[in-house]
Amino acid sequence: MTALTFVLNGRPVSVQAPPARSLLEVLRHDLRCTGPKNGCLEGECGACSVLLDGEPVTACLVPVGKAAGRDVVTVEGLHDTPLFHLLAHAFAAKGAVQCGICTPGLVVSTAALLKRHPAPSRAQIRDFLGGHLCRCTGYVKIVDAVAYAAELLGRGQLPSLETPAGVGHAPPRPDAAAKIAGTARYGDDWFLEGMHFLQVVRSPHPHAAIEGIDAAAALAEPGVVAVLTARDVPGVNRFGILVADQPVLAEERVRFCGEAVALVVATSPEAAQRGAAKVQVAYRPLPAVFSPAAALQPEAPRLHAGGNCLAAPVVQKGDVAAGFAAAEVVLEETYTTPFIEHAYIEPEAGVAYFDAEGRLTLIVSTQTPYLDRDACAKVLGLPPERLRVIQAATGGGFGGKLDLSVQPLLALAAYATGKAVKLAYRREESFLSTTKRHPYEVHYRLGATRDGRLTAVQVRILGDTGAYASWGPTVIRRAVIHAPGPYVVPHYRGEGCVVYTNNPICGAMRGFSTPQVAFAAESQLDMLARRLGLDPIELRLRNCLRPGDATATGQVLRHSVGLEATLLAVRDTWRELQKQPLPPQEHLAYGVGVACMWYGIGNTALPHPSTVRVALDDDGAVHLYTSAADIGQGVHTVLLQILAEVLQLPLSALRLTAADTLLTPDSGKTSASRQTYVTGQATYEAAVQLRELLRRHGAELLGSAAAEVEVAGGQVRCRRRGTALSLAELAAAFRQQGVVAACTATCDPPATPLDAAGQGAPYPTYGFATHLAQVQVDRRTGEVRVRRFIAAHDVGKALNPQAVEGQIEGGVVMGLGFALTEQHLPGQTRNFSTYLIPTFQETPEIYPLLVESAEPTGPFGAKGVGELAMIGTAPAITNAIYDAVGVRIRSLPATPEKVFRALHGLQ
Amino acid sequence: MPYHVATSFAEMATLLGQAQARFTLLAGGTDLMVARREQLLEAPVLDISRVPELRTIALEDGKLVIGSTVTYRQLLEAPLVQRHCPLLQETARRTGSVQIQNLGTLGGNVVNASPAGDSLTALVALEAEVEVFWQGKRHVKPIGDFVRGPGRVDLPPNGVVTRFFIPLVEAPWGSGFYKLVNRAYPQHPMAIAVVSAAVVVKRAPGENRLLWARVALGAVAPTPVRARESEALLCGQVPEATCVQRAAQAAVQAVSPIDDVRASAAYRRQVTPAVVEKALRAALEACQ
Ligand SMILES: Cc1cc2nc3c(=O)[nH]c(=O)nc-3n(C[C@H](O)[C@H](O)[C@H](O)COP(=O)(O)OP(=O)(O)OC[C@H]3O[C@@H](n4cnc5c(N)ncnc54)[C@H](O)[C@@H]3O)c2cc1C
Ligand code: FES
Ligand code: FES
Repeated sequence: MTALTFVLNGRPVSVQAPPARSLLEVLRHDLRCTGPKNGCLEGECGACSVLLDGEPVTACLVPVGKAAGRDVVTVEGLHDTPLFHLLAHAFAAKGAVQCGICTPGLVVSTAALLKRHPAPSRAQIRDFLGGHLCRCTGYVKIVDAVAYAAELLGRGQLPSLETPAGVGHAPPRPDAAAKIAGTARYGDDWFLEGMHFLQVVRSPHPHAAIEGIDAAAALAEPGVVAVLTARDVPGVNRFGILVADQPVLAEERVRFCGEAVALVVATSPEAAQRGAAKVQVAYRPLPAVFSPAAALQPEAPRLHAGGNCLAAPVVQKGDVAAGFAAAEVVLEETYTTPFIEHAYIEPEAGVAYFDAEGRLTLIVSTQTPYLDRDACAKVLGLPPERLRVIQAATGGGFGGKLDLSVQPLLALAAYATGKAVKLAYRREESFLSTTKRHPYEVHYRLGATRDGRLTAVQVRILGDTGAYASWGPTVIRRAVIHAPGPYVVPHYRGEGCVVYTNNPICGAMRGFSTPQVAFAAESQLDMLARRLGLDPIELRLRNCLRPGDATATGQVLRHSVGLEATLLAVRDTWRELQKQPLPPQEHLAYGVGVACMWYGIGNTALPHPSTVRVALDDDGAVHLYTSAADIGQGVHTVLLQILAEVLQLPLSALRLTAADTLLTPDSGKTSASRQTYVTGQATYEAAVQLRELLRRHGAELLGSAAAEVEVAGGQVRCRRRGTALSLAELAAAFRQQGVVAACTATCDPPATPLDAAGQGAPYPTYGFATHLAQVQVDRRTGEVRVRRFIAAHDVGKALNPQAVEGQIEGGVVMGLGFALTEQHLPGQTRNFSTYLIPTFQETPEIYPLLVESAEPTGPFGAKGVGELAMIGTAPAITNAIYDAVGVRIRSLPATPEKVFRALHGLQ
Repeated sequence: MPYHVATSFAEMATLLGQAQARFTLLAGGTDLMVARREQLLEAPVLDISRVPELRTIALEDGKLVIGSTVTYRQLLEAPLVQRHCPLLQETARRTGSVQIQNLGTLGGNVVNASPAGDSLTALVALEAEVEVFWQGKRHVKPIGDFVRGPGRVDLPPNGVVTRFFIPLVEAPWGSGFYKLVNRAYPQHPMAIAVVSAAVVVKRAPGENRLLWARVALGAVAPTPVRARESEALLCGQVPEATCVQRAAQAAVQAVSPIDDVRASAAYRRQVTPAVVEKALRAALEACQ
């Protein structure tokens, strides 16, 4: 191996590496230059973009030999340029950064764009950046940021980033600067002294018995340190959120293609790969089932001891037979949705090591440090306190990182070898082995009177849960609760069943299966509106839940039911678009569709407490400790805003320690759109306690009455006498007096268990929305383009309107993928060229409208929004397709082929 | 394994001439690094992207001559291409991303011989010729003969594609391209064609009649194919609506598509006329 020399960020570097290895791997691994990210290694995501002789290229496609003698600039190389400061400002100010894994690559490309076109149009920006995928933002705010940067470039000056920090404002994210600079460390960006690398040996069979594993040849491979199998698991070789049925490494049987069978530990990633290729596993293939219907047949192979039906919840209200008897119109249809991949741009990754105190420490990409810790402890047979889980910067989660992936493998390898270890999935491995959204078949029967009042709804849902339980039972339960939609339905029966198959494991994904049932429900309502000749907004207004109404589980909603307001918010646009529809051009037809949605915030019918601690540091800064994982959605910003508001402090006077099981109290998982609502409320309560403590003690020290004293602007001040103490002085006094200025608060908004008929109050509050899509359909090819999208959301209170918009835009774009392009076909889709997530150009103009119907149990009236944004999107789009060309899409995604077939009455 | 970067034609010729083993030729690497990342580490690689002659665009003897390692980016920026061959700019614009356009080359697209190769499809419509350099000699053959099947071309070991010759057409003529993809944005560049069509038409000067038309289809057969029946229906005709529709319809006679992860064979066949019509209309519109 000869040394290769090139100029990296202005300095000549020399590396010993195979010249055909990708520049990306050399930069990241050999040179520890981790600004360029590895999102796919196939040129599809743009996260690895660097400048090669000044032009953006995907470093993963450049053999390092090609870079020899040339000039390579990564985001790190831009740091000292004036343009970088301007871009950093613009990206932070416009909210263009969420998880941030896509950001360094975008910054590099934007630098090249602005050099070529100093004043680009929005279309030029979209085209130039079209090779960058972002799964979080929906692209709108990135385009905004680039346009803003160009504007600043023209003006030649940088405004200050000082924005008010309190509730209702949009201060820059605390982690924005590091993410933009490429210095935030994601799971794969950690390098530890003497670190070993892992490679998982995975099953090529969907269902097989393991007759033997021979690791001799692998162990003989230079660099291979150990080959671990199920026998090496010291504790319980099972994990699972609700039903612990998944082995860390398969024992006598594998149940899906891609299941982990053995784990190779080696001194380099290449050695680990070579070793893995040499592990001999003798399989005896077993009959496999690939659909829930087949798996429910009596002769089907039994995948788990309890049978193939994992869970079958029911919600029963009133008497559906009577409801249908009273109906004047009955509509009955079946809808299907495919497996959906989370497709965060950061594949699962992390490291594990023993710290100086002998604590097994994991730094991983995750949504839930505490669940990870407790699950890994069981696997190792250790008390949880012997483990510590720290969240690495996390490049998107969407529910996928609520499940264990690399965690138990890392823990096991570190435990077995005593070494620091790293495991980073490749994109293909992420597709192959991690959880998906459940494919559903939803049979929907709906009855209504001629004037459009719903009399009954009956729904049967059959879901494919794949090989292991994961979140299946919760997902199906949420589905039967939400299937009737946000409407007053006097008689309802919902039956669901999720079934084990030999398909990929299905778990949690944004919306926990409400997007699937909303697709069915809202398509049905659209059909009903057409059947009755009612406008679809009017029909929904006649049925929508209002304060005082009861849901299908009999829960009477008292507060924060803003659905009607969201409908009214889009009604004007709807009418306008009806009045002046776009002129059909030749084969192009235009249509408009609407859909509503609702979503219960928090775990279904289970407690979901969050605890946080707020303390006064010695220097007078206020310090928040929370385990809440920020996966890009921005919960940390919002929690700090709540603190800033209550304590009347600027962000610079606040400090945050987050998502570390050793240092932070358990704030629950980042799921079910609960963090702002639950952890936000806990933060609010802890902040109020601290404020009162500061007032009380401050008053004493000032010799004033507590009622005369206020906390503001970093001081405790007596309003009457004008005397004041800074928080730093107060902290010093506390130290002397031995006062502990730390307050802990726990919040657990009420949810009641459901009875046998599924009746009860499963969620403390619900979010609501109405979506409106305008689409263009090409009659001759079936191609669909979304031209315009309006998303009106009742968020209770927008604590940070920019962040809320960012969630809505990102959700709508994810919903657009669900509607039109995404479907995971096991064995066939394994990368971003076969699994198509939406891009810059596919994103329409999106107009988020915020409705604030305050939720009394949430901080300042807020409730969640994270998942909600994508729920109504797909049916709004398919309803718009119907409006345009008169075909009803009942199976997602609405690919050109499907639309075409429907248009031509084929199949 | 050695990785040679040839910086001149002579150096490239010498290396290929002395080679004991078969070189893997690498131009932009955008196909190789995806499809054969592991093998590249094991085989001797010859990087030809820095051979000046292969990067040149020129006019010679009534032909536009494009070097094999000319990138999409170069095609998009070259005034000669804009003037004489906007079709290749259209396909370059519809290819990948800015990053891919900066790396990927015309020669790589041809030798990769994907049935869906966009620029390859355009070159078929342009009746381009391929120049191959092998054992010290240059050989020229029509592109249709050069591309044999999916991923298969008529190239001997250590032979290298050096240039493409594109015959110039005298005005009035026009070209058009349409790429149907599974994305929610027509002709999206970051997607492999489900069906594509590239069309060149030549009009009789001062008349509405077409002297000839060439229609190439991508992703509907083992290689890009010419729709000869469509061409025959256009030849000598005034292209009013029914003529265009009939010609577009006739394109299905040229296709032999397969089912794959992107679409079914049946759909490919059914939408071929629509795709041809879009490309043909664009070509007619551009015809002046
Ligand atoms: C993200 C992404 C998007 C893409 N989008 C598109 C698209 O929209 N449309 C499309 O058509 N393609 C697309 N491609 C495929 C690819 O970019 C093109 O085919 C490109 O033109 C290949 O050129 P290259 O120089 O990179 O080829 P390389 O990878 O360097 O080579 C490809 C093959 O050709 C051989 N070769 C290259 N040059 C020569 C030569 N001069 N003589 C002999 N053999 C040679 C190589 O040995 C290899 O077998 C995409 C690829 C990626 C990664
Ligand atoms: S990692 Fe290079 S494009 Fe995705
Ligand atoms: S912010 Fe772009 S992928 Fe997360």
